[in-house]
Amino acid sequence: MSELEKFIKDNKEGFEKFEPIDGHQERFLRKLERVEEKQDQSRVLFWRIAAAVIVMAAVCTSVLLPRFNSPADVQYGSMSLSEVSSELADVELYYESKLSQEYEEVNKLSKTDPVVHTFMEELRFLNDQYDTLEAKLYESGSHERVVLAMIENFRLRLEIIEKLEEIKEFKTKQDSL
Amino acid sequence: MDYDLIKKNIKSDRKTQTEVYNTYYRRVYASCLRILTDQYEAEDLMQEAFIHAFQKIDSFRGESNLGTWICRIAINKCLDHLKKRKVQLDFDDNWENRAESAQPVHEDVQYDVERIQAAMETLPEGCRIVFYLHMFEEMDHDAIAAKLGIREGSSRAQYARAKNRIKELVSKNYVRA
Repeated sequence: MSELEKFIKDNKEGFEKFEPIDGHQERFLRKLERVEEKQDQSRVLFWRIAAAVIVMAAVCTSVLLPRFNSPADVQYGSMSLSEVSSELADVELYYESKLSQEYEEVNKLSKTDPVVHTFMEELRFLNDQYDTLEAKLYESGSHERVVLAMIENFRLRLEIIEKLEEIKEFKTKQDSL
Repeated sequence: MDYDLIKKNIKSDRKTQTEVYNTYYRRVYASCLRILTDQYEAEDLMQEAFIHAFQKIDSFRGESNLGTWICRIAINKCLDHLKKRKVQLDFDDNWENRAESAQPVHEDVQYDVERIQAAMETLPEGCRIVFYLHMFEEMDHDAIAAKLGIREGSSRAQYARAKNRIKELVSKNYVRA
């Protein structure tokens, strides 16, 4: 170590005798206060944003989750004809009521009659297909071709029900003879 | 100083903050002033270093003196400030040749703080910073080179030249305090 280095090392404090310009302590405290104010504002802003995100998440959950959990299509959600227009709601009501009236009656027959059983299998297939069409209606945004396919599905189911009714009547007549 | 108590209180307790500031401001200010040479900039960055230290006190592990730790923060801030200002530090190896003709150095030099101080101020900026970081902050040349983006050999060379120049100026009474 040279003499110069030794001198500096031994007299380090002497090299630190600089004084900042008068009033530096007050300026420091003011600066400190400004920084703390900014931090408080940032904290308030953070919690506001966090609250907004929580509200958005709650809204999204309440709106989207029921759709994702719909039995028709777990992944995409579904939509019935009645949600498209009031006219289609009438069509849906007409077919639904017709089908439900006869369904229970003919279902009893399917346990004993193999022909009726086959028709009932066909009816179940059409029911499943209708559920898929409801999901497609939701996906397509009420596309006309899907609406027509749904009405056709109703018509086919009603046709089967009517055939089953004929079988039922024929059987009743046979039994009475 | 009770570091545990300081760590606990320094983030929000004004009394502790003021106490720490008053204890170390001279040393931290001297560090900033040696790098920046401008009183206003030095005060500004010294105060920023204190505020930074208060906020990040959790990262102070107590391995060094609190003042040394704050000084390191201040030095980093000053060097970043120079980088932001795009100040090109002068590491020209030929600066000695451009200076006034070299004078023979007397071995029986009587050193004093003021003369050394005044001699340091005549050094080119890059050279002065290297001398200061190695001599006063006891940083090794490896660390200085990394901080300033220069080669380690260059840091050593700048330091040696600075030392010789200070000796030369002080011995010839060239620098008057």
